[in-house]
Amino acid sequence: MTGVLELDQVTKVYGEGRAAVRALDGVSLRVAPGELVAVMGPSGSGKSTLLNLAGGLDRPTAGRVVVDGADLGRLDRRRLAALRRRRVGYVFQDLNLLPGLTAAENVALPLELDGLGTRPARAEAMAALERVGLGERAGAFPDQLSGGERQRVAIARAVAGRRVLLLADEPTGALDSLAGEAVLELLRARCDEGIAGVLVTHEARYAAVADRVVFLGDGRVVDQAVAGTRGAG
Amino acid sequence: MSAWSGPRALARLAWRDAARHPGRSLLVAAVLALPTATLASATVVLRHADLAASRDFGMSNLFMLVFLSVVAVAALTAAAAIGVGARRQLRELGLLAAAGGDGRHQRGLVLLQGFGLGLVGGLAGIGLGLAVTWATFPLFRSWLTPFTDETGAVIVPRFSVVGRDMAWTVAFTVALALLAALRPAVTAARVPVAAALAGRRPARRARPGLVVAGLAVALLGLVLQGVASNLEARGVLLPVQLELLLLGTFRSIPSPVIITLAGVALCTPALVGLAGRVVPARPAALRLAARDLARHPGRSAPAVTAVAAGLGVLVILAGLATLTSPSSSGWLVQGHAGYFELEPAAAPLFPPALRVVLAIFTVLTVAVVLAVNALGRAEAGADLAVLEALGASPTTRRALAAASAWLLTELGALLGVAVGLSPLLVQRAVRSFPTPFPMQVPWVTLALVVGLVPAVAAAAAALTAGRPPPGPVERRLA
Repeated sequence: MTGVLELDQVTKVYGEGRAAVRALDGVSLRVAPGELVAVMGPSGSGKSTLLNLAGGLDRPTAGRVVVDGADLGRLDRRRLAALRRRRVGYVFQDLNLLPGLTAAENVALPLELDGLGTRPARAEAMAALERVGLGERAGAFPDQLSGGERQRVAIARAVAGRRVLLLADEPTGALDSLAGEAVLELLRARCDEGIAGVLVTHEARYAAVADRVVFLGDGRVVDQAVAGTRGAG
Repeated sequence: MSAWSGPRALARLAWRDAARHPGRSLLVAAVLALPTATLASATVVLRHADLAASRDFGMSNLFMLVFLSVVAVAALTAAAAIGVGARRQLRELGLLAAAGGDGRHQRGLVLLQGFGLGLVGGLAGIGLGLAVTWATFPLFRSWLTPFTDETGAVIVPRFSVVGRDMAWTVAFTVALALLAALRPAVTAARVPVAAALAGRRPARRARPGLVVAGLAVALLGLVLQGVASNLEARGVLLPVQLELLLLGTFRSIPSPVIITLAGVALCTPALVGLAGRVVPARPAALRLAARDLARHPGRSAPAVTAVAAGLGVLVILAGLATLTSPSSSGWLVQGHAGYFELEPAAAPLFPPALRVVLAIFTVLTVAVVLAVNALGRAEAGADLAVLEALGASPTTRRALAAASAWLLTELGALLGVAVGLSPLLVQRAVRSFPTPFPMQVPWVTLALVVGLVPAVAAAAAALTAGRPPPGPVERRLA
């Protein structure tokens, strides 16, 4: 089965000459539909770089990144943006939401940018918010929501419409453990519905919700394990 | 699918963002209201007398000069403010991109904000301009009454407003705001998404070509000043089409000076960068201020140019005003038949109006500096919070604000003196021809511009440097 996300010998170098930093060095990774892969590693090991490349937020120096059959290296900026609107969803550590928009407007934004009418976009957003249990908070602005609620809105936005890949960068980093676990359960549930997910995390107990854990060190994959079988952390 | 849902979502975002930062939005709108008020006022007054074709050539020139420089000051300050807004919005623009927004959406967001602020500023400016004109109309009336139309009838000016003129005036302000937002919009869309999300601005590349282009444009301005002065002194009339093409450069001072100023504007990013490198290590406040200006040329360069525009015009006006006796040739006025006549010069040239204009430009300059300083403090919120955490006293903060205001104004003042004296230098260079507006070096004004105005700006900045805006350190603690 082909993966929703395929990284093939991907290398990313920042800077030039003596100041050059090799953030990723020949990394290969495949994530199938419905699979949740956790990426772990110390600070500076290349986790966020990997996520940025997977979502087309940045371009690799060498290697190939394929999302839903599209080779990102062959897409111009506009097509990359369209792919992010339609196929890829992001959840960041914090400050995920546009502060000037309500929860529902934040979730509807990618759909509206894609040309879906305001009403159908709002209906999709409401459905996504209902799925994360926030239907009643649809009209609240981000600063009126708790940290856990904000992350759930971000997850709703990341899966609204017809997304196939969900990328989460330390989504529990700013939350207490109870709220963190609730957010991870939601991620797991979305993947069980068929979305492919990549979860970057520092904490082994959170990585346990994944199907597979990939360990990065100095920009390389140093180990892989089926979640729960390795007592990392 | 709807072609309008994307723009509608962006408009909503732009509006909410403007509403979330009322201080910054009001600043931009107020800055844009200035030239609108001037234009609205001029439209009402000039309806009754075609000043451009009138005998009062000096007054028409004065008006052109004041108007163009107010427009320049407003556009530059608005550009600085909109630029700061776009940079503070960097992560938001990154989030927009992560949500699938492309360059068009990012540019669209910044431009829509400019459009909205232009509209608000335009409407406010019309209100302000009409109110001031209505209140001061008796003064204008006494100035306008002597004119007669082509049938010989005496024109009795009335205060009346034409809706279409006002609509054009608002359109002008919106265009000005869009122009000011253009560069921040293009820059915002160029930042790589990953960098924007991390709140990292890409390093600015040095552009030596810009300085060369700036010097070339400034030189062109000087040459045009010379040509204009020359043509005018010899009473040569250019065909109307050519005048329009040359943006009215034959009208001796205004347009060529603005071209010279545009050249200077292109050099200011390099100048503030240079200031950051050559500033002495002590006092520390001055060093920090210079480094800050150098690091944020998007804010400091237009601000320095705005100060130069305001103070440059002040120097020109003062140079004209020092004339108290008729020049050797008298001054040339355009007669009704279209040829130039010689008329004994009145003395002094612009007496009461000039004093008002001098005061207005001083206030305008200090206001611009304070506004830009406030923007700077907003942009440096994180740095100020770090300074605070390191134990900097309120005095240090005030010293930093004062140093920043002084440096910005002083750089602008020096450039303003250069721009302001350029007509005089050109006149001296083409001295073989009698010039209609002979200028003198206004020594007192020069001393005030270079010495007093920066000191006033520094003092005002120190007084208004209250608590720093909350930066990341404070936000996290809160």
